[in-house]
Amino acid sequence: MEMSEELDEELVRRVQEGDKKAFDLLVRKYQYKITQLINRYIKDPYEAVDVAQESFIKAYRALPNFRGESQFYTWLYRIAINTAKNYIATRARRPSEDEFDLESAEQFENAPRLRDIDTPESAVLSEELARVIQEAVNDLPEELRTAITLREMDGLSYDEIAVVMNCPVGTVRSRIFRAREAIDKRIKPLLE
Amino acid sequence: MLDENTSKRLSLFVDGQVESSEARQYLRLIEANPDAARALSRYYLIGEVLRSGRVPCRVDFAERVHERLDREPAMIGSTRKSPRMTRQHWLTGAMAASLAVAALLVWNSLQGFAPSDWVTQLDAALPLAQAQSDPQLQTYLMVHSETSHVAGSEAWMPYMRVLSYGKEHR
Repeated sequence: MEMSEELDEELVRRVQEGDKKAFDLLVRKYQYKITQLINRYIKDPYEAVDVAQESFIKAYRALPNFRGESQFYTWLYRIAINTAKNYIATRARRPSEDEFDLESAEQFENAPRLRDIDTPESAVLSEELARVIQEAVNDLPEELRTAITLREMDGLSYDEIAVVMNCPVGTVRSRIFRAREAIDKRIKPLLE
Repeated sequence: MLDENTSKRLSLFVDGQVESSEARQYLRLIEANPDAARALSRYYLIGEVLRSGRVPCRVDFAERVHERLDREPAMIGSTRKSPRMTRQHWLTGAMAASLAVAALLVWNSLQGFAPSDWVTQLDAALPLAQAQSDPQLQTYLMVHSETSHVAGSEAWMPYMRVLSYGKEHR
């Protein structure tokens, strides 16, 4: 079992023991992957974010029944796909907006949605973030850029990167960290 | 503002380069330091943008989920047993049962009498038989049966009384 999976297992166990903070870490880890996954089913990015959020809430509620027979992330992926499919099916049955009666309008109002807080400004910010990150990577010294791209884009382990770059694993750790730190310095002002 | 050591540890955490036994430390770190939690999200974001070229969701996604989770009841206790643990418990139980049977068989063969003799001897030693053969003890048990639960023997003391009444009525 990989360390990342062991870590997930530990976090899941802690959530099952009542530690909600441990679930925060799982959300932070998988939020982008889950949203990307749902984007394959639901093209509207705002709706995809809503469904991703719902998937995490469903996963949290279902965690007491998670027995660890599969890896946490494959289980979470299944929940996300089912939530997306259910959403599409419900949307197909939903009447058009001008046919809403009072009751359904109320349900719509009560549904927790991220769309309300997503604005054109946030879309611009997302584009700006993506651009700044790409620029920051291009500006990195060669060895840092190679280390971070081998890790993030090619998914190589630290040991594999050490072989490719012909350096100790400790150096790989340091290069990846310094690359992240340099990129982080560029995006942090955009997020504050 | 995060110190370099914390940032380094977060970078390792993002890549799954920490032991699961260290997870507790990381949880404490993130609980105690909201900057660390935000930095963690940014590190994940960097990875996602490098892979997909885009930001798939708002950067405060995790905080929004957290707000909704605050309205959810906390889980108390775990219902989960990992398959490995369940298998271990089952094997341990089976081994214990096998040992008990083996010990009983060995004991019987060493004692040199048949199981039926053994059962008969056990029967003879039962307090019920003793009570029935001793009127004084029988009376004592009947008188004290109502308060027998104090001694934690509520399971068999009233049962003895019913049996002995049955015997008397026959």
